[in-house]
Amino acid sequence: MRKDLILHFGALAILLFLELLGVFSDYHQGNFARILVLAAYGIGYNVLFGYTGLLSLGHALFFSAGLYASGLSIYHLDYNVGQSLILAICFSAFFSLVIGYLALRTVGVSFMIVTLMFSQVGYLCILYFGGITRGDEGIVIQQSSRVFLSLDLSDPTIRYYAALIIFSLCLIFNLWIAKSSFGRVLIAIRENSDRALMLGYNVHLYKLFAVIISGTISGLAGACYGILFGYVGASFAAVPYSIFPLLWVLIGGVGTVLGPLVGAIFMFYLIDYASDITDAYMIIVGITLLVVTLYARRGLLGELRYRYFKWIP
Amino acid sequence: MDTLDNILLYTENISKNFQGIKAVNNVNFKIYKNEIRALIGPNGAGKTTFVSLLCGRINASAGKVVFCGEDISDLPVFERISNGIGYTFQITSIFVNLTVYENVALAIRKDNSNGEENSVSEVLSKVGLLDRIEQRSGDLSYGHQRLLELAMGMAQKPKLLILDEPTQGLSDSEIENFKKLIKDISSSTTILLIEHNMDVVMSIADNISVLHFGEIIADGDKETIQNDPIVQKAYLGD
Repeated sequence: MRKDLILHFGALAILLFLELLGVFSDYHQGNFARILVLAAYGIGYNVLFGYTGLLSLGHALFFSAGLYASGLSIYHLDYNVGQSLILAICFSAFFSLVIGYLALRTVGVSFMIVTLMFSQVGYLCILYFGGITRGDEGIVIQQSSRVFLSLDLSDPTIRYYAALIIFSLCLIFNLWIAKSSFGRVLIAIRENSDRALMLGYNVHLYKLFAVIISGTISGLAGACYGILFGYVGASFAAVPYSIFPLLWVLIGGVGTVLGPLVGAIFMFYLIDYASDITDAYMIIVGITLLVVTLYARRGLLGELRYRYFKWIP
Repeated sequence: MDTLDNILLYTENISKNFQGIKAVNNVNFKIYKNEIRALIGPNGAGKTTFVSLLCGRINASAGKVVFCGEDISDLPVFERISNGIGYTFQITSIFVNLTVYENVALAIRKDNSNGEENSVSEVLSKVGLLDRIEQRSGDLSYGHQRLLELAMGMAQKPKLLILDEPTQGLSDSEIENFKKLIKDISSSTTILLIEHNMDVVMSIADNISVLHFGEIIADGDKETIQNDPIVQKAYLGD
């Protein structure tokens, strides 16, 4: 069996057995469910940033597009979980198409600024239309609405498995992209887009596909987050939620399939443990991130790939 | 024979202005099937701009480009490349973080099919880089990177391959190797060669076009160009 498959399916198996063997305490089980959904969001971000080389500063827009599409449809229209997920996926895909079409008229720093601005527009719209979205206060999705195929998604164990399934699907999809000829072109665009164009690739269209895939995965993760944890709020559309996936990917490994998971675990527990030590936990977080960026510039997994395991996709 | 069947590509009054400066001015140019055409001229003559107009890297201000009988003036660059125009860069432009294999595989532009490995190996063995197939291309020497650039052009199997100063910065022995390779490629592909090295031009080109201040001032076989008094004075030395 191929090494890359062993690594990734091995990682998924570990996540499964940690739960099956009851290794997690209730606290860590909840944390990991959250991390897995957020890592799925990171995978979406990584498709655009890590593989295609487009740095977006506004991905909270896509995350919250899925979050609100599912949340509002459950809250206002009494959609069930399945219906709301389908709506969220379709809405995120369409939304990414529109935003991608507009934002890709720019490159480089302009692209970063434009995505940031779109994201802020989204955030302010959520606040402005408070009558529908309940603004800052947000919406709590009742336990009775969080049932899928007769399974109560608010139950911590079921929630963990649901998060693992979502993460696994995104990971396998990302792995497939990384190994496909489509993914190879994305990497070529990241490495040298002028050359990719001069080899006859429709670079603009590939970038647009990358935005759609990235935005849709992010939206799916957002929808799942709302459903699994029962809360839909404007804070998920704010700037920090655009920066988090960037940090996870940078820390975990830019353009590696498992990087977002490694980065999300690292960041989550770094903040968790640092805040046990002091109220000024951001000092510890900041120093640690500085050290990691100084000594592992490609991120933890990215550095391992660069130094030892070149086959890691 | 100047028949349409014989012409692979021609331009009609093609021009490019950069803020009033005529980089390419009303150029009418023809390249025939299966020839090696050299395009020469001093620095700043507009050679790279001109070939960029052919392959669509730069949009023309006026005029048209006809390739294989089809007006391609309005086609975007990737479609022109897909139609069979290959371009290798003056300044080496490869995917430095990818392996030699991946560079050539990207140029072949097919899915991960079974034939891909064979095609990559075939091209790399022609340029003599087969033993470096798994090497990161950024780690190759400059000469080898130029060879890889050429290999990527070959791998596209274009009808017209534009080589923008392929021998720039190479040693004499490497240049000899390049000359052989270009001759070899020309058996199946028409070649438009921008080149400063007159030894290379004289030994492999069938015909030569001379560009000066954005205009073609002479066009013809080697003898005609060599005996042209203006060209002789300006470009080849007395």
